[in-house]
Amino acid sequence: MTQDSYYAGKGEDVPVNLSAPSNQYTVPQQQQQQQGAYYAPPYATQQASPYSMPAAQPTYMVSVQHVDSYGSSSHDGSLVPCCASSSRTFDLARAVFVRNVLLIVTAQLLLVAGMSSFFYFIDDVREFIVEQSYWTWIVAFVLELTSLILLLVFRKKKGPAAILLTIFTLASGTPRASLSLSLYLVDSFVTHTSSRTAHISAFNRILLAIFLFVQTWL
Amino acid sequence: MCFYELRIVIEAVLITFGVVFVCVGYVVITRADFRWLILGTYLARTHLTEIAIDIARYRSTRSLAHSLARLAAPVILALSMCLLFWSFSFMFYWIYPSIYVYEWYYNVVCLIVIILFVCYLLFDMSLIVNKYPTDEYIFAAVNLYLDILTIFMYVLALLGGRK
Repeated sequence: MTQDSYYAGKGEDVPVNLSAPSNQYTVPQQQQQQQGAYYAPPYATQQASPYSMPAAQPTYMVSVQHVDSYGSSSHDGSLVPCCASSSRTFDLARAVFVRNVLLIVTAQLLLVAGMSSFFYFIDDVREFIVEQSYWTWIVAFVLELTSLILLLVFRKKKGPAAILLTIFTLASGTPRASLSLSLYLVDSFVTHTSSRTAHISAFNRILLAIFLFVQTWL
Repeated sequence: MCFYELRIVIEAVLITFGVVFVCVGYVVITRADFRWLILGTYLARTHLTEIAIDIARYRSTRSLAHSLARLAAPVILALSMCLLFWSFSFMFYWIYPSIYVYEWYYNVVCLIVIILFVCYLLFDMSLIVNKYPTDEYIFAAVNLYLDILTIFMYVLALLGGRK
């Protein structure tokens, strides 16, 4: 499996007993009922099918879905059988990664909370929000979208990604922090103004879904 | 322009952190895979024959859980597109009249968006715990941050819209 197709590859990879190729279609009954395992047809293991994922590991694999064990990550090249639910391993790099992600998200949310309190509690800044022209929000949205797409491009490079993360957090936090706590009165009906920032979130989600779909199926 | 009361904002923050804490904790502890919510239930199938076997099994059993699982990804994609175009209409609010004729309509829209982004949060967390390469934490953090912020904004809208 190449490095770029890790996001949505096979569910789990289970090695097949190579010494008994005639047994390739006979699955143990208990395993088949519990996990819904399907053995790949033999021609799919020998030649590259246009419908199958590129695989860097030896392709004598079985895809198993709905197994709650993710002991082996799919890109480390280890052939650890994952069927037994007791075979969970502790991946230190993965744990450090999750910790880094949660720390960065906490820092971003604290920054947005600070900006929100800046806009919320200081009266001069409140009046400054009202006096803003529409172009301010357009510039913020364009910066946010641009830095998001550039993040998608430069996600492997630490330095540009950190700079783009800072730009993105400031540019996305400004309209949200100032608008999400405020209300508009339109024809004596209260409208939530943060609905106007929803298209960025929706656009991001659809962009990422298309990206993952392309990486999975193409 | 007026602002929400501080009590409502604090309530929204607490509710959002409860939801996010439960979702993130569940995915981190169990390492559950929620990719099928967004990418579809045929995700782990690497060959068309496997998809055919899946369809045959579904036609023979017709279980409710399987039906709902098959529906999840297209429904979520359609709801995302609806949210996108619906929020585009807000950019031209001086042209379009307000579609919130009833109070409950707005609450239902907010609830749907909250459920949608909780699904995306679960999806993102399962990607982070299982699938992301370990050097892309900035990109992973941005997705998680957008989900949490959107959930917060719509919880705030739901709480602030009530009388």
